[in-house]
Amino acid sequence: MTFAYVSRTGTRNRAYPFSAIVGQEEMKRALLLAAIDPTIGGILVLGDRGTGKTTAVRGLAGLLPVIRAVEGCRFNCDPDRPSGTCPDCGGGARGTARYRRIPVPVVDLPLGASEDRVVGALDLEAALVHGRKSFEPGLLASAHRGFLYIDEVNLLEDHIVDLLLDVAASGINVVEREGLSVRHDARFVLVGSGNPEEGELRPQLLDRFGISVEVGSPSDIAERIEVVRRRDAFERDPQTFMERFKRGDGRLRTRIRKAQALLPEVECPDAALTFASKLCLKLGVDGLRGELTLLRVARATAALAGRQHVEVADMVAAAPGALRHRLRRDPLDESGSTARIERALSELSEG
Amino acid sequence: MNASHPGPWHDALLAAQLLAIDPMGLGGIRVRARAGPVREAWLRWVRELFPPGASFSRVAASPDEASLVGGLDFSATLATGKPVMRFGLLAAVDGGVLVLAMAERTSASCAALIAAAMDCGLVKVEREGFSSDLQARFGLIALDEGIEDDETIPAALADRLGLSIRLEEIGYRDIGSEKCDRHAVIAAQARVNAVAVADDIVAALVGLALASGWSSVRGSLFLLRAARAVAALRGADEIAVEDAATAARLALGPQRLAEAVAAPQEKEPPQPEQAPPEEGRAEDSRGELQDIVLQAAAAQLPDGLLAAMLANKVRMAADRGGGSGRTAASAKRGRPLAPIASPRRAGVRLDILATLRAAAPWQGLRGRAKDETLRIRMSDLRNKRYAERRGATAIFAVDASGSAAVARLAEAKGAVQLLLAECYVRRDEVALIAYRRTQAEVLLEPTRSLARARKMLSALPGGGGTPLAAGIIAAARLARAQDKRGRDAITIFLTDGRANVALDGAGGRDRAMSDMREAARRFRGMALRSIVIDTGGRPQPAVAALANELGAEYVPLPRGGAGRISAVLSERMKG
Repeated sequence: MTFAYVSRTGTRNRAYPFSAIVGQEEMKRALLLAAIDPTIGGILVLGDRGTGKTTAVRGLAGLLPVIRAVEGCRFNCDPDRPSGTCPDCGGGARGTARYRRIPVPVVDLPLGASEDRVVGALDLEAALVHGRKSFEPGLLASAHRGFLYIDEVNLLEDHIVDLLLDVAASGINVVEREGLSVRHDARFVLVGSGNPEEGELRPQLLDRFGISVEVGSPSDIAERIEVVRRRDAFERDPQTFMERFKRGDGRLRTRIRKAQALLPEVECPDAALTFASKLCLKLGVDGLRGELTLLRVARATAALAGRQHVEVADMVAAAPGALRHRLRRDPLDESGSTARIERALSELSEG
Repeated sequence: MNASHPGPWHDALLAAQLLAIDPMGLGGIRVRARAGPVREAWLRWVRELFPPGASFSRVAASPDEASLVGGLDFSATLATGKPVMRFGLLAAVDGGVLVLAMAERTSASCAALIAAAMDCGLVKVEREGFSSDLQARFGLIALDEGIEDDETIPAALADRLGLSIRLEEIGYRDIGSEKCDRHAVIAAQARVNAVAVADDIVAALVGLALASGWSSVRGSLFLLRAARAVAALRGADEIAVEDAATAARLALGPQRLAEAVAAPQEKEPPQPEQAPPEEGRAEDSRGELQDIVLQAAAAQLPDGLLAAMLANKVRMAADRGGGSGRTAASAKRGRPLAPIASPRRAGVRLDILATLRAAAPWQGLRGRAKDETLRIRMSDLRNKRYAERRGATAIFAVDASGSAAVARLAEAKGAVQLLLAECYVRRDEVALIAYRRTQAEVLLEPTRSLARARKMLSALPGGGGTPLAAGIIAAARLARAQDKRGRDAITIFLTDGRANVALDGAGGRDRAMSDMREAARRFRGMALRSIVIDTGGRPQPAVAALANELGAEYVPLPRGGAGRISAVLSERMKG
């Protein structure tokens, strides 16, 4: 029997175009914001089955601009910011390395992945065939400077989750196994999706995500019909369909690039900062992480809109996604987190 | 049987043909059938519809990750001296059909793996040193053999199966002598993507999927794909209303069709400004067409089946939430510890990869020449070790009878939710049984999901007598089931000990109390752990006696308060 290997770029090209996704504005905006400012932290998409969670993340890969990476480095090192610890290219002077252009990596962490493939391990082939002891980078290395996507994140085995949490917090992957001792940079945007009915996420993991989005099936019948029509057209003739949305994707790519360039200049006036503090205080959000994320999301929102100043409206738009999953859970309070945030927002705007 | 409808066997064959025409677009078939000659005959038929040589693999319930995804081929690796990959089932079945037997027992993680492969037609292998994407385009046939109403296939799979049939009503003699016509399938395949569809048909199909309760967009899409395949099979180049009806029957299946029939007709609020301008026909005609398709689809079902399905709507509710929260504990999961070098013992699993990694550095010293088999010594062998803690399930058996029930129930509800909040840290589950009026009822199957628990709890009613005996027996049954799943169960009775309804539902305190004592003795005989929380105004000797009969710990908690109950429990469950 023959098995067909599919190159990774091959799968990428076949993805449903991002700009063809109907509705689901909150999810799409969250992904764009993370593309503009990766320091926002991860994106968590929770919702019903068949709402296009996976489609959107895979579509995002087609939108992202290219980046420069050191030629021959399997850890996607940035030639302008060389990492001294990189096992492949470590120690090179800034900007001297030869580089190649790669698309921002969007790496899948499939369920059933084993630990050695996630963190990296001894290269078995090199060891057996050539008697050489070398490190084979794992998915965390491939995802460096890009996105790491986990579908059904709530079904991931605990020990893998623990590994991810550790690396996501430090930005460095430390491997000490099989006589190897390797450390390399691994900074990535963690994107998780799942259905809350399949099981809750641990609070430690929840907290790692910068933005959480709740998606539902479109209730508007006209929107639903449009979703079905487009999906059907895509499945019947992907080439033509992608051609149709190529320009839409291109426009989005340009917006991302412009917003990225604008982001360092975006300023946050005191009024907006005060609003953020008041809101977090009112909601009883623990720690500074929530407030910081809120600020970052609002800045990216302003950049996406092409503005150099954060407005209170940006904070209002950013609040549900940035804070929803950080509220202390009150099991006896039947109203959802989103409702609580909206209540606090309206109270603040009145007062 | 009515002569005008084509019959369930014909439908089963038609569904098979549709799958053969468009396996990727339709995902697969959910087959409700017990093992037997009818099912085997149908499977043989399916096989003949696919190209000769196409893979047709059968696997039971929950194959482990390694066999689904693949990994290191130990014997080939040893023989050749370099890592050789063993392909998993999902890649091996590319271009063919995967038959999942006993699909109602498939675990959530296994279902998620299959679902991921179905979504992108690929299996992503990131295991045991291998990293590759392999094509995995297949049709899935999920054999749902559930007998009990709560046995159903995981929702993640159910949502990805575009066709649904029942073979249960078909006798072996009903099987006709229809010849398998592969040529018709091939001809339809060439035509299917070109079949045109009118806007009002799309609207009718989408509306129908919604009315049937299939809220995921996939449902609507499957209806459309199925209608297109039906039309293509008929040789048509446009979807007719009859095609849509046939598709609705096969894609929704009898159960969902019954839902759609029962759904109130006022489904569509008019949205004139939302409708795209090219939709020439007005909204009212859209709703009308949806009705016509629905009626035509329902008319083709065997007599009586629809009525049976309507009577069975409770089951459907269970169906949607099904499969979730059930993660079977298995010795193959858990946190892997560092592999250990230790002698081979029966029942210990060899960690092949770790063994090879241990042996690799020594190959040169051991004098292995190129192209020679690997030299592995006893000292290289590494065994797998897992740290697995048995998950625990807390079963709340709550007195939901009249009088003080409202306050007590609120406390129990609160305790369940507080415990749940801790549960996802510890991977514990909770379940809820309420006894009131004449019987006990499992209101919440063991779950870790706060979302589901909250939904169930908010709908929990109270009132009536106190059938404590029935409550004890229901708890015992659930606790035993947990034990079989490899989980520790602890039952928490919240009661004031005043049983007044006997096992058979009759009133009368004396019989109720003696039934209760009998049930308690049986409970004790099964050596099940339990706690009795006395919810009476002040500690009752009767409740202490009940605890004694149950072999339970007695905790008086007058006006307990959710926080205190959950604190007491939390302590016990950690131990």
